[in-house]
Amino acid sequence: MSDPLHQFEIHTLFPLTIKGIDISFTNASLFMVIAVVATTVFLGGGLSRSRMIPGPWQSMVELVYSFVSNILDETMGEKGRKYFPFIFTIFMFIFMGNVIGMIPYTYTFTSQIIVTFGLAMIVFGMATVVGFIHHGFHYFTLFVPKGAPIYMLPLIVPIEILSYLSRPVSLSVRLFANMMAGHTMLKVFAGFTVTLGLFGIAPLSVNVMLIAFEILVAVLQAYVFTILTCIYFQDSIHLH
Amino acid sequence: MPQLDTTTFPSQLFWLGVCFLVLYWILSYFLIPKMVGVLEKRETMREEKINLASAYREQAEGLLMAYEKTLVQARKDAHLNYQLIVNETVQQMAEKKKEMLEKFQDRLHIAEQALYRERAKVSSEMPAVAQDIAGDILQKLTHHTYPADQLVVKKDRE
Repeated sequence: MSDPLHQFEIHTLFPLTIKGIDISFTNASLFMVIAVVATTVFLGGGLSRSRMIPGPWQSMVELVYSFVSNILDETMGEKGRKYFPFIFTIFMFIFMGNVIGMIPYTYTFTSQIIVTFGLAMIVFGMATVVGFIHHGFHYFTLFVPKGAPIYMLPLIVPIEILSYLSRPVSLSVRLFANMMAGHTMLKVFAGFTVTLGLFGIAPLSVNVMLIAFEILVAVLQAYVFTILTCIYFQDSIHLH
Repeated sequence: MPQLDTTTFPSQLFWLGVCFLVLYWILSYFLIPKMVGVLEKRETMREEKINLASAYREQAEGLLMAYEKTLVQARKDAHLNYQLIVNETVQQMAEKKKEMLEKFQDRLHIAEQALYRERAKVSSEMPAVAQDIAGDILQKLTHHTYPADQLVVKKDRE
């Protein structure tokens, strides 16, 4: 039986080093580029003949747009409007990465902990910068919950700081674990299908259901990542 | 676990950064403005249509009000005219009636006069006729002829 983790291996396609740092173009990089191209083609194609009464493609584009727009409005409100491009980029990048990963023989770059951690750090960094832009040093009051008794502060403040710092970890691990677990499971059941021969129909049917479930997870995790990003931004803008 | 191979981390982070920035640039400078443009255009078009519709509605309501006003005025006018015509007709009828009555009165008067005259004439001829008839009756009864002057007519029996 083939190794179910084999699918996550990184292969260098074009070796590249800058100042001794290996930044080779790998299969993961290729699918990041594909996700960018696919997003551009999907959105650009839908909007190329932008009509007042949209066709099927334009409707899909508008649906995605209003979906993210609604998430943003519900969590951040009017003040968050200017961060829409950032939120939308986060959503589209993860969404495309997850969904393209569901196509056989593709690579799921969101199953790489370093990629999801990088994305989470981008979000975390942006949220912190936004917080300082909006409130200056007053932003540190985020770690002091309103109405907490003074004598509890020595305990509460470190907890708040810890929970703040653990945001990128939970954000990245959630996405990474979901994608990796799903793809590993698919591969395990696919391995059963091959080794069981004729009886492989049983794990195969399980895999069919799993694929449907994984597509749901792919969309759901993009949504979860986006809504958590919005919530962190909301905290930065409004301070609790 | 291949994910924990730290030698791939710099490359992954580098390409993630590049792809993310490129996508952010494409979205924020080209695709989102286009999207917003389409949505705003649709919104303005919708508002224009709604405004136009409400303007038409107001116009229609104005027309309806004018129509109703005209109708009320027309009804009032019609009622007034009707009253006027009725009054005129009644007056005319009364005049006509009066005229006719007068005419009839005149005619009646004339007829009465004529009758009176006829009566007078008949009553003046009556004694002679009575004498003749009486004479004839007497002659038939008595086979004797009485001269007319012997038969006196009592004039007071009238």
